Parts: sequence; C-alpha cells; structure tokens
Amino acid sequence: MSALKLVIVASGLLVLTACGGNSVESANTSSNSSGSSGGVPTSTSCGATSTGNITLDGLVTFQRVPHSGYRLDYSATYDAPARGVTVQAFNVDNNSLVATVSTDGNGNYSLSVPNNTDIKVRVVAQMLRTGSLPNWNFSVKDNTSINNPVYVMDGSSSCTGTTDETRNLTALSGWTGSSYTNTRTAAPFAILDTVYDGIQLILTVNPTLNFPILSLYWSPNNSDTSIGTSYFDGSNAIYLLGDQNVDTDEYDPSVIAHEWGHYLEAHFSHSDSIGGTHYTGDQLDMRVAFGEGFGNAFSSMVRNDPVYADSSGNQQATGFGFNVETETVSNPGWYSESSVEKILYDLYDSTNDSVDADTLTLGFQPIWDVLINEERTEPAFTSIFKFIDALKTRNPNDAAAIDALVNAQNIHVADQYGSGEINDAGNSNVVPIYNEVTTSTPASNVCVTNAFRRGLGTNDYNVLGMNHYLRFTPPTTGSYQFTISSGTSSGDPDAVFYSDTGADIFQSPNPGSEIFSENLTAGREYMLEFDDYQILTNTSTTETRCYTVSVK
Amino acid sequence: MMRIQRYMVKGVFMNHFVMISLLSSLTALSGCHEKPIHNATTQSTSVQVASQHTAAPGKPRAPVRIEYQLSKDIQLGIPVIIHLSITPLVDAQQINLHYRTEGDLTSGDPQSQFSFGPTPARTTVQQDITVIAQAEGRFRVILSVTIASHSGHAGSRSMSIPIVVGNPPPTTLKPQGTMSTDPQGNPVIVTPAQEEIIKH
Repeated sequence: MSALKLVIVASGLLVLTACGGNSVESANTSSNSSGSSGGVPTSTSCGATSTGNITLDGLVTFQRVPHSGYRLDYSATYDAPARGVTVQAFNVDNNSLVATVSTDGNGNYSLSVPNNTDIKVRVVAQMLRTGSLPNWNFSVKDNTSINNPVYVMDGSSSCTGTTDETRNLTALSGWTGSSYTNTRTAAPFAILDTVYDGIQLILTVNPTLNFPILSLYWSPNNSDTSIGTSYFDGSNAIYLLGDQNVDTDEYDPSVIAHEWGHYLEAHFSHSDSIGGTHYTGDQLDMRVAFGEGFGNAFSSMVRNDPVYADSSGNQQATGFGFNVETETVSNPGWYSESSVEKILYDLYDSTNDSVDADTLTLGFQPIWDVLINEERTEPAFTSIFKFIDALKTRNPNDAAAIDALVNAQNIHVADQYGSGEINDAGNSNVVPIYNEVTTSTPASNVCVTNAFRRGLGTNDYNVLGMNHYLRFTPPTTGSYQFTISSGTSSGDPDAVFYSDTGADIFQSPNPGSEIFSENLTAGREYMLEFDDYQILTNTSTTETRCYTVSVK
Repeated sequence: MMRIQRYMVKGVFMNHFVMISLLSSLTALSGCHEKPIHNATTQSTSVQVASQHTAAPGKPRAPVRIEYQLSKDIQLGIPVIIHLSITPLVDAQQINLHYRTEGDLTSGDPQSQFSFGPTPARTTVQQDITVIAQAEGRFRVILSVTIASHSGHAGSRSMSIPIVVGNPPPTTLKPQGTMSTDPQGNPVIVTPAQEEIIKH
C-alpha cells in the first residue's frame, strides 16, 4: 500500500470513511472528539474484527519559540522533538488503554496496537520512568483547574487497518501572528523539554538516581497577580507564569532550569536561603546569593548556554537576562549572586578566560559531589565559602586555580565560615561573617545594618547586613541560655537558632535584648543568626546597631 | 505566654508604610517563605520551623523595583491617579516606562510612554498615570519598564496592577483545553494535536 499522508489541522472537522483496505482514516483533532464521553471518543468504529496487532509508530514534536536576545522570536518558531514524554494508545470503542510507551531522545515512539480497531494516540505532558533506577515522574499540570489535571494532547480516533502505520503528532504554540488566540498545546511540552535536559545532565553524574516526583504547574491564567512569579515551592512543585503580554515562561528554558535546580538542591543538597525577592546586582544575604547564583549557573549548565534569557512584555517582545560567562559583575563578592553564578559556571565550563582567572574545566561531577555531601553535612550556612572550601578539599590539585577564580570576584575562602574575609562591601559591620561565641567569651560589637537595602521606603530583609551569624559549640550536653543585648533599651533583636530539630525563632518585643534557651549536644557546632526588628522595619533612615551575644 | 508566628505578609507593610509594595505582596502571594516578623503588641514568640530551611525566592528579576500607590478607590467614570515609584538597582543611563490598560479601563493620560534620564542606582523616580474605569469589573494596568545601563545592557520588566471597580463577580478562569478523565480516572486537560497519519 502506498503511503498516503493526511495532514490534519486543528479544525475539528470530522471525516469518516470505511476501514479495511482504505488508507484514509478519520480526522478529528479537536480536544473533544465527536461523540466522546469523558473525553474519550466512542462513536467511531472500524466495522471489522481485530485479528492481530500492527505497529503504530510516529514522531511527537512541539513548536518551540526561540529567543532573539531576551525576547521571543515567533518568526523563528520550529518543531522540536518531544523527548521522553508518555505516549498512549486508546481503543476508542471500549475506552481502554491498549499500549503505553515513552518517546525516545528524538521524539519517536513505537507501539503495538490491535488492527482493525479505532485507536487514538494521546501524548501526556509527563515524563515517567519506573522500575529499575533511575526513576522519575515529572508532569505539567494546570493549577487553575479543579483537581489540577495533567495536560494531554490528543490525536484523532482512527481505524488502524491491517498494516503498520505512522502517526506524527505536533503540539502547536497557539500563536496566530500577534497573540495566542488558539490553544497553547505546545507549552507543557516545551516546559518538559527543559526538564529532559536537566535529567540528562544529572544522569552523567548519577545514572541511578531516584528523582522525587515533581509537578510543574503552568497555565495561561498564571499571572504575577495570581502566583507572583515563577518559583519552586520548596517541596514538589514548580509554578510557572503563562500570562501573555505580561510574563510567560514556558519558552524561557533559563527560568525553568533555574527553578528545577532549586528542586534538586532541596531534595539532594541543602539550602539555608531565607528567600525573598532578589535582583541582579543586589548585595544579598550570602545564603540567598549562593542559592540564586547556583540556580543561574545550573540553568546554564543544563542548557549548555551561558546566556540567561527571560522574555516578558507585550507580545513577549522584551525581557531581561545576562551572560554568566561574560557579564561584568557590579559589586562582586560573597554576597553577590552574579559572582556565585560566574564562579560555578567557570568551574564547570570548558571556556577559560583570563578576565575571570578561569583556567578550570572541572565539569559537573565535582560540583555535584559537594552539593550532595558537604553542603548537607557541614555545619556552616550554605554560602560560596562552604561550597568552595569543600571543593578545594576534594580537589587539592586545583585548589590554587579555584582560589584564583574566587579571588577574581573579590572572595577569599579560608574555610567554610569565610574566616578572614576582607571584602566588607564598604561596610565594616558585615565582617567577620561569623562570630564565635563560647561560655567564657561573649561575642561583642556584633552588628546589623540596613545599609544595603534597595532604597528608602522599602523593606529588604534578605540583603547583606540585615542578619548576623554566630557559631557555638557546647562543651557539654545540656541547656544553654543565650542573650543578645545592646546593653541599653534601644533595639529589638530577634534570633533564629538552628537546633537539632529545626530552626527555632525567637521574637520577643523586649527592648534591647533577646534571651532564649536551647538544649544542646556536646561537641556539635550550632549556628544562629539575629536581626533587629527596628532596623528591619526602618524605611526612612540608614541604621546600624551592635550587640553583645553571650551564652551560659 | 502566647506564641504567635507571623510572617512578613506585606499587607502589613502596606499599612505601615502606606506605599503598596507590590513586589513584596506578590512574593507573599506566591507562597514564598518570608522572614518571620513579630507582632510588637505581643509579649513573646517562639516557633519552630523545618530544619530544611528551603525558601522559594522565585526567578531572578531585572534590576528595577516598581511600586505603586492608588490615590483613592477606583470609582466608575472618575479619573484615578496611580503613583508609580521606579527604582533602578544599577546605575541607569535611561529608564523607559510604558503602560497600557485592559478592557473598560482606559488611560486618562495624553501619552502612555515616559522616559527618564540617567538615574543612579537605588534612586527612585516618580511618575503619575491616570486611569478611568468605564464600567464595573476587574481590569489591569500593565506596566513595562526598561532599564538601559551604562554598560549598554538593557533589561525589561513587566508587571500588572489589578484594578477592581464596583463589586464584580470573581473572575472565571478559562481552562486551556477540555477537562476530562482518563480510563484510570486521572484528571486530564485535553488539548488538540496537529496530526499526520501515514498508512504503510
């Protein structure tokens, strides 16, 4: 039988012809096929008896809209393979699933299905692998519809006949020249495709990983007023914007990979980031700087592209971004996510450059090793200090080159605590980064400041200087009382103590001091931090206040 | 001793600082972990949170902070001024602001684009815009701010300001496809494929 191509557009037009010896099949690509019940069509019938199986294969693609600069370029839209997604074949007559497979790395699939049977091919926006490791279950769902359904793309119900056949399915973007007026079928598959790239990177360093389940929630209804921004929820969900003409992220792999990096960090590494809004160029709490710098660098590693691009605006024709390889960092240092991302990417990539003192090409394995080991086990807060200290220990032959790389960002790593760091961002109150306190020696003149906030009239709890960090190692197991005192009635310190069981928050409104007790284990090093509520909420003046921290 | 945990939901700060901090409120809406803050009227607070102190800051933002304040409640047919505060976080060679309105919310300004000259980092520029509601409903003002830095790099940020006029019913969200369930009973949302069938 000669091949006959029948290209079916999304018109919903139903064309029924007889099966058996005829190559023309039913054509219906509307999302709710004629005669369907519960979304699974039942009206069509081949009028013949199934006598065996045929091979049904095909290619699944989605329309990808690439970037031109930081904006989306719809004129350059192309068909990309939908890799690793779930393909199902349904017997339309009895509403049963007859075969399931995942597309390969080129978007191809092959199924054995009954002949002379009305079959519909469905592509699920899910990458699922079970059984022997590695395992994963990533799916794209609609968080704005009841029960958070997973997105699927349906082909037509069509009789299989008695010979093998091919069904190629493409998810269209829905763009019709100036806006998305048609269904944005491609979006969930574009999102998954970035996750596919992420999986491939991770499998190079751990080929038997068991990825925790993750739902990626996307909808055209996901706007800045509904979900705020694209983000990882700290557990098992990533939310992505889809609000056309304001901010969409389905075609921003940079953003998707960044958030997926946070998912990996949460489940396989550790983060002490305190969150909050962050902007490029910020001088941040070092924990936020490391977490976000890692996200940006990891995004570029996944995509093998140093350019981070985030489109937005009317017709997605504007955007912002940066190049983690070539960007000039304003205010470089341990508090800069830009410095962190440049360092991590330079450690990874094969492009060396003298400007950044980059002579290294370590690849991802050494980075992953630190993430899943020392980042979890060492006591200091997550920061560039903790990461680099462990990396140097693990790679002593590269220690000098690593030091040169971080020195180029005005960072100096002696240990995981940043001891001896001389870069104070122009404010002596932010170093030393940690103060160590003992039962015999209080830490005095320990200061917090709002000097690094983003402008008057704002509140920026996650910027450099707002929090100060301390370390304490109890000599014996027992209860210890901590006192943070200004020595006067001024100030209102609040503290967070990272105990054996979690983060304990102490927020009394007592003027000038905060006093609390903890049951501690001998020999273990504990971390605590404090801020000043009055400084935190002072939006009119720049203010610095210093305290003495004692323990008994 | 009463123990209360309060998070820095920026609605509180809206009261404290009058200026609506949209960025911050959005962060709160997004479910991000915000820094705990105590209520100054309570005696003491002490809470425990998960040891895995993972937070969700969200994606990186272009280096410009945008805040707004409405001059008064929006009423049908009455012009309302929206005070915009734009703060570049890097030295800006130029700042361009463009806005547009949706639906029956119209602009009351002769122009919808504004430009500002060189602006040092963390310095706020102000711009008032005027909108008029022609009907009751839920509308948005869409802002787009582009920063051109001294190094020649530009970055844009878009955001929306929700405007509610009267007491309109809640917005009905339109799903992307057809709601259904698969044979296993799992909820799915069905979207159409472009399909090519080849008989061998």
